[in-house]
Formats: sequence, structure tokens, C-alpha cells
Amino acid sequence: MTAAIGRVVVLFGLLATNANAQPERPLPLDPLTPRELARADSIVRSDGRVREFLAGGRSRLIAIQFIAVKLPRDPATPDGVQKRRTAQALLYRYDKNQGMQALVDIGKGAVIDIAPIPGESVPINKDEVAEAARLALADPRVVRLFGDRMPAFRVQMGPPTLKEANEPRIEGLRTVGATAKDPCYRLRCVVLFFHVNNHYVQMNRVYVDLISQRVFINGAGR
Amino acid sequence: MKTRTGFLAVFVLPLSLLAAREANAQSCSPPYFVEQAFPRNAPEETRWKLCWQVIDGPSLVITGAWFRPAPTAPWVQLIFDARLSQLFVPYHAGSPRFLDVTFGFGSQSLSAKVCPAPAKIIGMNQETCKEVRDRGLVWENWGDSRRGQELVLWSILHAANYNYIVEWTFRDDGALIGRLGATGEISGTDAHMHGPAWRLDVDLNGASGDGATLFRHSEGGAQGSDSHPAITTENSWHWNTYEFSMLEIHDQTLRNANGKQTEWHLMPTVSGIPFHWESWTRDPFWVTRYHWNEMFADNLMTYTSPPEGVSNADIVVWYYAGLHHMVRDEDTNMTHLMWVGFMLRPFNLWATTPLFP
Repeated sequence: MTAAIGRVVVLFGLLATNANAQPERPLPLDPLTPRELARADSIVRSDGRVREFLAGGRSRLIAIQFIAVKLPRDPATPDGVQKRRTAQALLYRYDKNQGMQALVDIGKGAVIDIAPIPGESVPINKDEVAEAARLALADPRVVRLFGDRMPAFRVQMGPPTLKEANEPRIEGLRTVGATAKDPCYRLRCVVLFFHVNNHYVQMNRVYVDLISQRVFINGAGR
Repeated sequence: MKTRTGFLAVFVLPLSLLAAREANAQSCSPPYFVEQAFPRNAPEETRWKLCWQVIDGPSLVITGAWFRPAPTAPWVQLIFDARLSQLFVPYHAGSPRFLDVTFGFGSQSLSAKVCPAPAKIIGMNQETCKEVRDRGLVWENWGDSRRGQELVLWSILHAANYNYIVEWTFRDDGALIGRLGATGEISGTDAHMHGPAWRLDVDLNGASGDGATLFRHSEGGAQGSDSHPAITTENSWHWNTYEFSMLEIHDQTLRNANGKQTEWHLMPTVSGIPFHWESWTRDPFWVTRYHWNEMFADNLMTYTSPPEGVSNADIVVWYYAGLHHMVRDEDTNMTHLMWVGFMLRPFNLWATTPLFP
């Protein structure tokens, strides 16, 4: 996926997730509006430190979310009551297995702080589940799991509705390896969940590491 | 951060100005602002007000909570931000080891079937259920008695084959209860743990000047004794069944009318404590100094190294719990809800028994 397409997809996802969620003039602790999310996205991507972090390797903007903050010597929060409109952006570099948190002051139009975060602590997002599903469905071993009855899966991009309950879908969760014997040790592994006829099948069989983009087939159950 | 001047103002300003300050404290709009007086349909005795959001990942987050122990009393801030920080699900076989708080699924929209009237479904995406429940007897004395009430907000965090109920309860006696319920469709028979880790940014009476002690009970011969060692630096602590361990959170200046220090106690409501290979699961209790970027429980080892001071500071408490799920035949099609959680209960907030004639 190119950076440009990725940006559009992420932004669309953020907007879709938060549609209808907000009054026009939000108070400090209200959810971010679609407009604020778009602005935070733009602020983050134009920040020099963020651009430097993202440059030169495969990377992803994982999430932009509301966060209430108390900053040292911040006249905006004299009594611990949030006054600013702030967002937290979470970014990830695959080649370094390294994350970054960026604190965005939406009113100021600036990233006011950044902090590194170990890659292991960066949650996955739905675009990564989609990527894992794409890699898995292209793997003949995964195709063989379903034999000649391979359903027309789609990747679930939000909580399934009742209408979607019976549609073949793929969901994903992150798993970590405890020891070096685990193929997911220190990697960014997604376990795929295949939902067919209102049941999950082949659970905990298909693992995808998003760093190496390799697919593992496992025999354990959940 | 709260300043000392700000604290003093709460107690010396005229009531009219107090009211203005309290109005300013409303920092969110309906439906994200919820205010509930107790008892319902009767003269008010106590009241909660709070802000909430459903955030992709932790699901239902409390972004501020204040309690008023009497209609004429000032509000007491309790929570700046309370959320499920991580949900660790390791299987006994050693793999998989799921981290179920991810940015992907969001929270389910609720129907009247799961949240029937008189409860209300709130949120622009219909994602949260708001209920006011009878909580049973509060006290009983030779036929005289009092039943209590509580405000409950909950949402459903969808994580593939499991659905988790993320629930926050605000009781009429000032107690705050956090619970996680697990239900869903299992496969296989491997036992596993559902381990919620809550991040509780408790700003008791404001952000600054807070601290914690670790409660310990012990028995020596025929006598029992209690101790309250101060927690001075960032670290983690065991929960000992024989010691009735709990964290006691206080504010340097908040006292009741008897002059006693007011606290809120973090009390586990568990059947056991999880402990896994991952070092951040070594203890259920953690206390850290507030930093905006310290949000993820699985990074607690980094947050506490090197350890910072947590006396008279802006502190965050973390609580890691576990639901041990030994798969039974009754789980075949759907696992009935299993719950785990904690209570934050006031201690010396009132000068006498509340909710009592």
C-alpha cells in the first residue's frame, strides 16, 4: 500500500468510526469530532519529528484518539479539569519494531510532545488485520484449510451488526510470544479468526507476522 | 494541575462562587455528561457527575468523575481518567497469548434486548447502556433498614470470539466499581486467563497532593494488627489473601468534618491473582507518577524504571486481575458471563454513617 493510499484509508477509517459522535462545539472532554480528527491527522503528518520517525522504513499511523492531559505548569488545567482539545497519535515502524506517541494540541495546531514506546506495546489496528488477512488468503496452506469450500471472506472493520452475523468474515487479534521458541517472539503477530455460518472456524490456526509478513499455521485451539 | 490556591478556594469562597466553579467543572456535553442524584424520586442525599467516552481499544472510558456526599457539600473529584488499559489472555499451553485491547473492532451498538427499559441506551452510536439499579440492603437494624442504589454504565468490547462487558458502577455511598465480564464462543479445551489491567488516574480532590499506602493485616498469636506502609516510589505490590491487601489513596489536604484524612481504598474483588511470564504481570497493584504518555499496562516495567517519587504527587494506580477460565462442557456453544473487578470505596469521607437517618 502506498503512503498516499494508506493515509486516505486511515483517515477514512477514523472518520467513519467517529461519524455522528459529536456536537458542533465540543466541550473539553467530548469525543473528537470528525473535523478534529482530520485536523489532528494533518498536524501529526506535517510534524518534523513524526516525519523523521516515519521516514526510511515501512510504517503506519496506528490510531488518533482523544486524550485528556495534564501538562506540567499548564495554566489550562489549574484544577485538573481539561481545557484543551488534545489527541494522542500512535505510530509504528515495522523495521525497527518501534512505536511513537505524539500529543497533538488541536487548537494550537501543533504536536506539543512526543514519546517513544516499545513496539511490543503498540496495539494493532484494523488496517493491519486487513493486511494480515490479505497475506493469509494468498497463502496456499491457508486455502487448503478450507478445502474447496473457501468462503468469500471480507475483513471485519468494526463490530459486526446482526445483519452481518452470518456473513463470512475475518477478524484478528494480536498475540505475543513469551519465549524465543514461540514463532511470534518479539514480532508483531496477528491471529486470524474466520467466521462462517455464525461460528468461528480454524481458530488459532493462522498467525501472520506483520514485520516479516510471514504466515504461520498452528494447531492450537482457543 | 491543581494548585494549593485552588484547593483553598473550594473551602473559603462563598457558595455562589462555589456554584460557578462547579458549573465550570462540567467539561462534556450530553450524552457524554451524566449526572445522577440518589435516591431516585426522593430528596437528594448524594450525587455523582461524570464524563465518559467509548474509545476504540479500551471501550468505555470514564474521563472524569466527581462525587458530592451531601446536597450542600462541595464536589470531590475522584477520577481524571479510568480505563481498561490492556486485556491479556494467555493460554496454559504457552501460546497464544492474546492482547485483546486493539484498535480495530470498536464497541458494539446496543439493542433494547440487551439494554431494556427503564435502562437507556446512550451515545451517538448507541454504544453504552445506562442503568440505575437497586443494589440491595445497605444496612438493617431490627426491622429498620435502607436499600441502596447505583448508576451503572456499560459497553461491549468485541474481540473476535469473545465479547467483553466493560462496566463502571457509581454507588450512592461514593463507591466506584470497575468490572469486566467475559462471554463468547470458545474453541478447544485449553484453560486460559482473561487478565484485565485497569489504569486508574485517581485525582482525589484534584491532581496534585495525592499519595498511597499499602494496607496489610496480620495475625500474631491471638491478636491482629494492621499496618499502612507509605508508598514513596513507583513500584508494584503483591495481593496477599491473608493480609487483605489494598491500596489506600489519599489527598494531602482532604479531610472529613472530624479532621480525619479522607481516602478511597482500591479493593480487589477476585478469586485469585494471575501471574505470568511477562514481568508486568508480576503484581496486581502498581503506582506510578502521572505522565500523559503512560497508558499501556504491558509497558509498566518501563514506566517504573527508574522509579520516580509518588508521595504528595499526581499519581496513577494500576490494577491487574484475572479470570481463570477452565473450559467446561457448559461452555460448548456460548460461555456464560464471568466477572472480575475491583472497588474504590471511600474511607472517612463522611463524619458519620451515610444513608442513615
